[in-house]
Parts: sequence; structure tokens; C-alpha cells
Amino acid sequence: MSESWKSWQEMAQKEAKKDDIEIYRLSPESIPIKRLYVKESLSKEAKDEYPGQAPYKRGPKATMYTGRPWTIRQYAGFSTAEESNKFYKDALSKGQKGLSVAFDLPTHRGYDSDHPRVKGDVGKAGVAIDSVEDMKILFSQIPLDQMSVSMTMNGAVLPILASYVVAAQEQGVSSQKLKGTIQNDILKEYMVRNTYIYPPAPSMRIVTDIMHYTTHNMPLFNSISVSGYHLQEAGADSALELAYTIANALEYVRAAIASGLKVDDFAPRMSFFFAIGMNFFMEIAKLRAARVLWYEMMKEFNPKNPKSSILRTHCQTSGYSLTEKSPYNNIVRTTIEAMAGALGGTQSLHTNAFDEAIALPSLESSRIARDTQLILQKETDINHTVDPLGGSYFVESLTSELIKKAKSIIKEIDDCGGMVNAINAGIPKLRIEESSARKQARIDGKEEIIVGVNDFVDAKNNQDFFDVRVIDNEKVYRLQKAKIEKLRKERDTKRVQSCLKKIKTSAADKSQNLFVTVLEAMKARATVGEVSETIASVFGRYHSPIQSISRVYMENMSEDQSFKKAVENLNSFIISTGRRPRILIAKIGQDGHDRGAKVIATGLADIGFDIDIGPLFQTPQEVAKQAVENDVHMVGISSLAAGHRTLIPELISALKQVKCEDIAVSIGGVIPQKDYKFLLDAGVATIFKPGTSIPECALQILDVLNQKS
Amino acid sequence: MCFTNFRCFKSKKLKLMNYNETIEGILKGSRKHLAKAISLLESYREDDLLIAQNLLDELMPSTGKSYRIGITGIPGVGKSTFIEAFGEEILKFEPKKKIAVITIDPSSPKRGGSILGDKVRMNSLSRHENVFVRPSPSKGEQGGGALKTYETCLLMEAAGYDIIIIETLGVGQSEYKVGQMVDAFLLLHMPATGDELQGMKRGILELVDLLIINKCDGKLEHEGKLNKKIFEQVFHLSATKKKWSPPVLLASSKEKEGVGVVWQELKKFLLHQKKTRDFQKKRENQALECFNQQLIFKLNKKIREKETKLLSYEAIQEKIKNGLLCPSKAAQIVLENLMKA
Repeated sequence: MSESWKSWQEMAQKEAKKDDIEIYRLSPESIPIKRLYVKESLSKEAKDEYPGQAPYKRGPKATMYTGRPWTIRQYAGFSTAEESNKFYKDALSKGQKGLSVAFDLPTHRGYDSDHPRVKGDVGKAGVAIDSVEDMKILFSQIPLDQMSVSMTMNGAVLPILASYVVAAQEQGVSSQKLKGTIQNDILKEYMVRNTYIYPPAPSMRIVTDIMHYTTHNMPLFNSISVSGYHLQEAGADSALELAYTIANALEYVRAAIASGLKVDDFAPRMSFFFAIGMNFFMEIAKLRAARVLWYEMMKEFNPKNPKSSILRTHCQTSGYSLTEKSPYNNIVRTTIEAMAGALGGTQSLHTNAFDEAIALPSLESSRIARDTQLILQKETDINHTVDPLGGSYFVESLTSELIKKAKSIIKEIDDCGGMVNAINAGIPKLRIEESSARKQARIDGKEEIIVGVNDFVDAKNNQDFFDVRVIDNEKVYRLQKAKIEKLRKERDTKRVQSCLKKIKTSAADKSQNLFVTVLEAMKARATVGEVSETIASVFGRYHSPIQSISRVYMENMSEDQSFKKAVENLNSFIISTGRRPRILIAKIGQDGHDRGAKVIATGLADIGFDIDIGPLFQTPQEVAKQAVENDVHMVGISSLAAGHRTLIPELISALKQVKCEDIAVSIGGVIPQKDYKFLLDAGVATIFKPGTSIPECALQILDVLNQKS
Repeated sequence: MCFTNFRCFKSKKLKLMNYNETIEGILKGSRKHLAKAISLLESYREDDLLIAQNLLDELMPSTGKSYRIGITGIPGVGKSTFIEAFGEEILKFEPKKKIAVITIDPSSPKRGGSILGDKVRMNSLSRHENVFVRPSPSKGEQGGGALKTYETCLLMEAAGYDIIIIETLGVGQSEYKVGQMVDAFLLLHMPATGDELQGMKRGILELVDLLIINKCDGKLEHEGKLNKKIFEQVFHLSATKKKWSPPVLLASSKEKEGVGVVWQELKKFLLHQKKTRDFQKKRENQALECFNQQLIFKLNKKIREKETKLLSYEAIQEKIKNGLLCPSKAAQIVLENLMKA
């Protein structure tokens, strides 16, 4: 070590008043973050690297944003196809360059809007699409040969992609000209988010069937978008997100090759999707590391086309980092995250709207989100030079550390015999849940500060000052129902039946391409639900086993004052009632985001509650039945997909029907403040605001229960 | 703090629940009343337990008319998934049957809360109109866990359930206890290699009436068939002692294969038992055994409650540990003191 290093160390020791000054902290990924990085921090083998050249650390293209800036691609969709179409056209006229479609949960899970299980979710967290007719309306007056369209669809990927292809054909655009991306990344659905339909093995076949079709018929279309985004949103740290995304991608490559494709036929059309959270430099390093990892890992398959091992990615700022308290702060957060995405070299970007922790984005909040990117592109000098942070001691070191870390996680998956096996064994899910519980403990213990939430709290909450978008779910439901009825009356039923029969045959016969038969069925105006049910009659619907972890939360919190207080109150509750407080934590409807529910379940069990976890995708009546049989004190509903206005009153009336109105109902998740009164009037006992720590939740629950008894 | 202490606390006021309404409710098959009565059984409070006891006593004439089926197997063998497939299979053959399921989940050893997720694995079964699923936290052995399970069974019978399935925790003593309180005891086994078979608990095998090799799908199918042969030999060798040689069946609850056969075989077994009157004898013995255990349990508790007035329990224990007092003599002293008190 040099003289300067030594004298820096001495000075730093004095300033920091500590002997050990080298390591500042351990990152969530357990990477030691040093106070200072110097030239020696770089690995000895470090050499000059160029963008557009292997291993592509500095970017997939030689000129990067100096040639063309990243694509501003905002994810949007809600209500009916008509409403979303209007919204898209407006956004495109104001500087947005590509479309990204959000579908509602019933569509994701392969149900038609009129299916009895899904009523409360229709048109809520995305647009409801039941058939080609809806798809045509969605893209009406949007020329599909010019517009790149990204579709977040995994479960019902067959009928949705097929509807899009048919809608384009009927617009006069052949599939050869279609450009865009279908997410088609089913593996992560089993780890987080849960918008799958079928079990893993047949789902993998669907993935490869689509890859086959797009490879041969849609050369400009990305056949898959391997997504880490949802992993980070579910609480995975950056290393887990990175490693599992790459591991998933490798699993798809292996499956595609096993199904007869050549690596260079499809790999150039694989794309990626990462989340960008608040760990600014870590996220920049993550994108750089991802490109290197992909390049290195793809060597296994001997690609001849360099494009096969170049990682291209879309990014989205983190929804998890957005807060319900002081929501304008979210504009700042999103800006910082967007910068990290740009400095990491993303190919396209979605910036979240500031009100997304509260409701679906409004017109105004969407504008600000879009303008954030325009400001970065037009007003700053960020895209005036390629990979501006290349060579930074810190960023380069972090990049290498992340690569190392990710490799060891990928190895754990390889040791299980690949990702499908690892998922069946429940490993990735467990790792992510652990990471998520630890993060919650850091936030509750104020080790991680979120301004306005767990520190520097503004007494006056300014949520009342702006409008949030409200979806009239009943109205969407009626409209969709009418459209489906009309469709069923006007179509050639015999033709549809024969198409569905063919789907059934091809589902059972691996040598056929399922997508081709689905395409015919959609052309004949079969519905998304009919096609999905037909396939489910062969593959079955998948029910995810729910595992739960314990004690991770407690280990990090047991010294915390509020934790101790919660334990104390719980003990006195047991003394007076003779039972542990028993809570059913449930999700209703088609919203499969269960990170919040899981974290709460673990945390409360660690405090001493008896926790029942309900299966996913329950109807209100089913939740009520479970609550009654288990004789719980309270049902806690976690709602993230805006279904609460319909589903909660239904739950309360279902409980009344069996004369169990003494079971309290509470709710947490994404609940706009203006819905509070509605919910309380409907009979909800208590509402957990986002950002409430788990011990606070526990105290809140015990208060309610003590009042009741 | 140990929660078992709470049973010492005396009630301030009786539960709000109406006693007669509860009895009527249970007899009419009301889910709510059955659920509340089970909670009373699980209570830490002495007064609750007394109410529960009276309730049960009044309901006794309406109990006994079910098949009680215990299902055991190590954690991860797929008990819940099996029960889901099994229950649905029964309802397919006999749609009017009412099925109740008791599952026992582990309590966190450190703080005592549990996560009870069994309904998740019995997703579609638990939705069924004729089905009642009740997961219970185990609370460890000292809570008299197995005795409570037995009494829960009785409550469910009074509420009209025809088939009661008890899923065990999968580890520890409770396995044996559940095995001793049911009409039929099913062991779920996963295909394994010879070495792993060696490690199987022999004691459990002796209680088993039916052995199911689960997860016989995909790669494990071959292994499963080999295992079947080995078990059949084991049972064959010990069959002389028993009138019933337990059948070994292959099943895959994931693929829903072989599960129907399990129900048919089980019915065969139960009919066989009824014919030989073993069924009735077993039940009589079980009821007596339950009485014996309750007596010991209550006696034990009484002794501990009185300990302050008597010769210190701890002091006696200390003497026994140090070999200063013969255990049987010590028990005699305690008992005599109790009679005097």
C-alpha cells in the first residue's frame, strides 16, 4: 500500500473516531462497502474495455445513447380497452416512444371477465382483454407495424399473444413486421407474483412453443423478457435479483435447445427486465454485471452470432421504494432511480408515477413520470457520453463483486439440477422471502431510513391534495360482460368448438405447437378464458405450495422496544382470553402479490400470534369459511391490486351471513386514503397504512381485539 | 414466560357464548359453533376447559358414529396434498359424506406463535361445502395435545362428520399417540433407498394399518415399486401376530393416481375390523385409555397446584436426582400428602 493510502487511513481514523475505518457497512447483498476505493481496489486483470465489445460491460452498443437515447416506455393499462386506447394515444402524442400493456389480473390468470371467481378484479390493475375484439380496440388507430409493443403476460401468454397477432393481421400488418416484447417469463411467477395458470413443466413447454413460433414468424419480436423486476419488488436484494434472472434465462435457453431450436435462432431475441431501486451505485453495477454474466454464461452454448450473448434490457424504477406518506417525495426517488438505470446503460425505461403507492396513476402523475425521463434525456448531459461511470474505482469494484456473488447463487441453483428443480424444492422463494423479511426488519429497526416514513415524518400528510384514479369496477364488469355476450352470439360456435378441440389435442401432444392452434381459435373468436380452461383441462391449474419462514424477522428485532411492547400486550391478551390471538392473513381475488402478506405473517408469528395463511386466489366466501372454521379473531386482507372496494364488503357480508360478525376484518396494502371512510363504513375494523412497522401492526390488532372482547 | 402457566388464572366472567345455543348449534352441524367449541378445548384457561368438558359430556350420546383416520409420515412426504386428493376421492364416490380434517402445525419453540398453512395445501378440499378443516397449533406435548385431538374428534362427530382425518405433525411422540386414538392408521412413505428404509421407525410400523408409498411419479416410480416389495415382506413376516396384513399401495397425490384405491382398501379394512368386532374393542380401549391419561394429567396438575402447601415438589425432585429418595417412595409421599390436603 502506498504512502498516500497510509496517511489517508490515519486521517480517516481521526475524523471518524474509529480504528476500523475501511468498511463502512455491509450492503443488503452482504457485499462490504468500503469508505474509499482507489486504483488498487480494481482487480489486477482489469484492462481497457469498450462498449459494443465482449463482455459488453460498458454497454451493448458502441455509441449507446449518443447514437440513440433509451426508449421511454411507460407501462400502462386499466379499465376497458377503449379507455386504455385513449390513454395510449395521448401518451404517444406527448413524447412516449413505445407501448407497454398492463393487463388486469383475470386476464393474467386466464379467466374471462364474466367468470364468477374474478368479479372484483376486472379492469383494476390493468386492462381487461377477453378476445381479439378487445385487442383490436386496444390498438385502434395505433399502427402496429410502426409501434413497438411490450406485453406483460406470462400465464395466459398463448391467447394474448395470439390475439395481438390476429389484431395486427386484421389491421393489415403481417406478423413479420411486428416489433416488441412478450414477457413470457413463467419461472419467476412461481417465485413471486403468482400469476401462473399451469404447473411448471407444461408452462415451460408453452414458453418454448412461443419461442418457436416467434423465431420463425416474428423475427423482430422479442420472444421473452426474463424479468428480475418482480423479484426485487418482492424483497430480493440486487444479487438475488441478478442471479435468479440469469439462472431463469439459462433455463429457457436449455429448454429451447432441447425443443430443437438452435441457440442463434432465438437467443438474439431474448430480452431482460430489471428493477432499479434506491441503492444507486449497486443498481448501476447490477446492469453492468448482468451483461458480463450473460456473455460468460452463454459460452456454454457456443453461439456464433455475437447478438446471442448480448444482454439487452428494459428497466423500471422500483414500486417498492415508493411511499404512501409524503407521496411527492416519490418524484425525487423515481428520478434518482431513473438516473441509475441510464448510467447502467438500459435500453428502455419505465418511470413510476408518484401516486402508485396509493392508486393507479392519474393523467397528471403519468405526465410527470414521463417528463422525468424527458428531462434526463433533454436537459442533462447524461447521454452525451457512453458509460460515463466506466473506470470509476467504486463502480468497477462493485460490478466485480456482484458478478462473484451472483455466480455463487447461480451455482446453488445448478447444484439443484436447474431452476425448475430448485423451484419445485422451493429454494428461490425461500431465499427471496428471507431477504424480504430482513429488509422489513431493517426498516422497522430504522437501520434503513425512508424519509417521511420511519424518520423525518411530516405530521401533515399531503395525500388529500391530489386526485387519484378510481376505476368503476362494476361498470367495467358490465361492459366486458356485454361484449362477451355479443361475441358469443355473433361468432361461429361450431368453428370455435372445433378449434378448442384441436387445442386439447395439441396440449396432449408435445410434438405440436400449441400456439398455432391457439392462434386459429382466437381468429375464430374464442375467448381468453375458453382457451385457458381448455388447456387447463389437460395440464391442470397449478396451486403453489406456500412455505413460510420463521424467526428471521425476530432475530433482527428482538431488542426493539416496540417489539417488546407488542409481545407484552400479546401476553396479557392470552391471560385474559385463554387463547393466542389468531389471525387469518388472506388475499382475495386474483391478486397474487403475496410479499406483504408473507412478511406480516412471519413477523406476527414471531411476536407470538397464531397465523393462518389462506391460499391465493380465494373468493370472499371461501375466506369467510376458513375464518369461521379456524375460529380466528381477525381476518387481515392484503390488497395490492385495487380490488378492495368490491371484495371487502363482500367478505364482511359473507361473515355476517354465517353470523360471525364478531370476526374483525382489517386491511393493508395499497389503499388510497379516500377509500378509508368507505371501508370503515363497510365495517372494516382497522386499516394498516403502508409503512406501518410490524410491531405497530401487532399493537393495532391487539387494540381492536381488546375492544371487542 | 411459559404459557402453560396461564391455565392457573381464574376467570373473571364466563364466556359470552351461550351454552345451550352452542350445543344446539353443534348438533345442527353449525360450523361456527363447532369452531368455537374447539377453541374452548384449546384454551389456556381453566374455566374454559371446564365449560368444554361439560359441553362434551352433554354431546357424548351423539358421538362415535364416524371413521377416525390418522395419517402420519415424515415432514415433506406430502400428507396435506394426499389428504386433499384422498378427501376429494371419497366425495366423488360418496358425495353425501361429511369430512372433517384436523391438522397439527408446529408452534415456534421460542415464542410460541405458529404459522398454520395447511389449508393452502388442501386448497380445493377446504372449499367444499361438506368439509371442515381445522389446523391446530401443537403447543408441544405438555399441553396434552393428543388428548385435545381426541376430544376435538368427538366434537366433530357430534356435529355430524362421518369421516375424521387427523394429520400428524410428522415428528416426535405425537405420532404414536395419534396412532392409538384412531380406527385406521395410514403411513405415508416416500420412495427411498434401502439405507433410508433402515432408519424407519419400527414402532410406527406396528401401528400401521395401511402403508401408502406416495409421490410415485416421474423419477421415483421405479424406486417406489421396489420399496413396495420390501414393505410387503416386512408385513408378511409379522403378519402372524396380526389378523390383518397391511396392504402396501402406490399413489401419486400430485397426479391423483392410486388415491381411489386407498379409499377402497381402507373401507375393506374397516369392514373387516367391524366384522371381527375389533373395531368396537379398539374404541372401547381407546376411550378407557383416554380416561386413564386424563386422570394422570389432572392428577399431575392438582399435585403441582398444591405443591406450595405440600412438601416442595422441587425439593423432592432434587432428592430423587441425587439418589437420596427412592422414586416410588417419593410418589407415595406426595400422594399421601395430597389425600390429607
